[in-house]
Amino acid sequence: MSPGATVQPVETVETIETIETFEAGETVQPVETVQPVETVQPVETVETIETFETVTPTVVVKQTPASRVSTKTVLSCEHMGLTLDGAVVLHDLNLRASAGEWIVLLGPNGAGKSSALRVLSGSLRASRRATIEGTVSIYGVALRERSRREIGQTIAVVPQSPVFPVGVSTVDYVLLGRTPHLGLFASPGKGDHVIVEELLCRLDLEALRERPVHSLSGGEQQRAVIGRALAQKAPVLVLDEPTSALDVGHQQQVLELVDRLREEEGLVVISAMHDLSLAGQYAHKLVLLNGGTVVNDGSPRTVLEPDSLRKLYNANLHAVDLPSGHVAVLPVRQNLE
Amino acid sequence: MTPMTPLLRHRGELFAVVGAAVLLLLACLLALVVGAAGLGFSDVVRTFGNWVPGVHLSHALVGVDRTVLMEIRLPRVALAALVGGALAVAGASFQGVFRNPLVDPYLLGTASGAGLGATIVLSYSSAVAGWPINPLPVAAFVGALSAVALSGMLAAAVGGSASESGGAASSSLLLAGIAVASFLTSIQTFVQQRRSDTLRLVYAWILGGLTTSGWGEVRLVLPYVAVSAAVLLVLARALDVLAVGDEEARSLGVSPSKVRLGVVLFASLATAAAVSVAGLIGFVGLIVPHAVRAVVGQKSRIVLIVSFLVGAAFLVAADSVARTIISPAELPLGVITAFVGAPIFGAILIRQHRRAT
Repeated sequence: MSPGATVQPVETVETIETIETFEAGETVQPVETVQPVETVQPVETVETIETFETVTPTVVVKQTPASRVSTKTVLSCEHMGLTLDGAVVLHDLNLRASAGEWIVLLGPNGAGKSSALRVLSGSLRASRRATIEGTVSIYGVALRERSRREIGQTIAVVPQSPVFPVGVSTVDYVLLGRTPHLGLFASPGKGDHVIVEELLCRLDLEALRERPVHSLSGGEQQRAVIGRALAQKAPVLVLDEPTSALDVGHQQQVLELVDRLREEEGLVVISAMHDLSLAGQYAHKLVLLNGGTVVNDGSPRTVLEPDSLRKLYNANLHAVDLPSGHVAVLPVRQNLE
Repeated sequence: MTPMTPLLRHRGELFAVVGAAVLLLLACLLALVVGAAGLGFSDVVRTFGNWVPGVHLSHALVGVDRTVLMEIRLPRVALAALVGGALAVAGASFQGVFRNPLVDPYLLGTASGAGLGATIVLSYSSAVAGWPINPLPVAAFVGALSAVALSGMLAAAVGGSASESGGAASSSLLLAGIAVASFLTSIQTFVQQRRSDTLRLVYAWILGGLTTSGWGEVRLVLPYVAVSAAVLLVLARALDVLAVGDEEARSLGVSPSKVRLGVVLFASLATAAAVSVAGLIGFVGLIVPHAVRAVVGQKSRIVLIVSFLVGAAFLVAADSVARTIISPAELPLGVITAFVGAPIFGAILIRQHRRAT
């Protein structure tokens, strides 16, 4: 206060002097009234105050809807970044998913889809090798504040290439999904068996229940893994390339199955996929990644834009409108186009 | 590929446990009957029958025969059962945690550590003649656990014990065990060579065998075996979860490194307890879990329970043979277990190979 007050009068010595001589006792008031005459400095301070005032309300405005939405928002991640062994794998990924929403991550090989899923599902945590920025929260609680068991109760993961233990029956394999609800020491009880039997029925695995899971066919195995994930009864289902090992028919079957379960259970589904056309038909929202950053996101129609995809994938692509209103993106041989 | 359905499930599992228990009971009865002092089968049964409240059978054993039964044979049978059970459970746990069928309980340097401890005591036993307790089992026990601790520290220094990939963690621990084992064996051999007068004693100890003086040894190992078997049984389900790999186990809320640490610790404790009173008895911890898995499937809890019972029965039976076959001398127990165990192991391998192709 006092240094500023002394500096300012010095500049306006002449005018103040005149005022001071008029009213010797009231030094403060004249200074204030005189200063407005010198427009530059006061205006600056007023401006900064104004900007502060205008910024704070907008921040508040932004926060209120976020907290209001969070009752509907199941999973959100803000400014998520991942650095693995010094290499930036993901940068500034923002996602928001509400119940019943299917989000598909797209992008060329190495774009960071799997890494994003690993961070989102809490299976990759900060360590000596991995630095994770931002927060992933489920129902407003950050993942890092949850224990592994709690994460297992909220996020179910279908890995890209699951490990099928030798000699374990399908029913016991699906029962493994109850693990996060059991703790380390308990055995599965009647309730757990009821859940598993119901899932076997819904996934058409009843006839295979006693068969060793490692001996099942690709499509059957995929259903068994989905069964295990659903047995976790988690609100979020994360699938990494769920159809990459399947033929066209089984791809559709698995995706239809996931879609049906998503709708029935109100699940948030987040998956990484390679097939642009399938992604466009099942997802509500596509997130297109390249080199760890989001290049485009939004509805399938806005993201599946052949010109930008062509450059991104370095592929010759052709968009086709489907009767359902969806867009299919087909790889087309260049010289025959 | 033909589906390999496990032979027994659910009710079958109960059947397997009961069957193994009956097997153990029969082995125990056999062991109690055979021996230098010829005790009649029915007399032995009658003597135990009188333990049942309200039962009074005549012709029960009395006098010297009764003392032979209660103070010589019964403790020996109990010890054989405990040691066999402990080794089989430890072997089954190690095989489960390392996902490696070739692993046995003496992994991680347990055998060499115990061997070094025992060799030191046997070589310098004149210096400790007046001790209030027998230092041999204590030294073997401490040696075994120190070896495991060394292996663990070496693996941790490599960075494997709690790292992200389970396979790397397991193999670095196994390799550390091999390094520690050969290091300790070299010291043991050195000590042994310096005191050639005790060579025979050391050699006999290494071949393994049970010697009992009343119930003392049983009391010594029972707490360790009971506690480790109980903890391993509790960890069995988590062990099954680890079968889907570390990353998936984590997504199911299980911490692989913690489970692994617990299993390795308590399996080593059981092994150390067994080794401290029985020396190095081979093959029990390797073939019993194998044979059991071939029958009951892969569910760890059942595998552990049945392994304990079958391991106990196997060692009780083997010890009866060791006591009687060249009576009055005793054959080292390890000779029997390997002589019988190796062909059984070979047969299992052939059967598994045939079934897989």
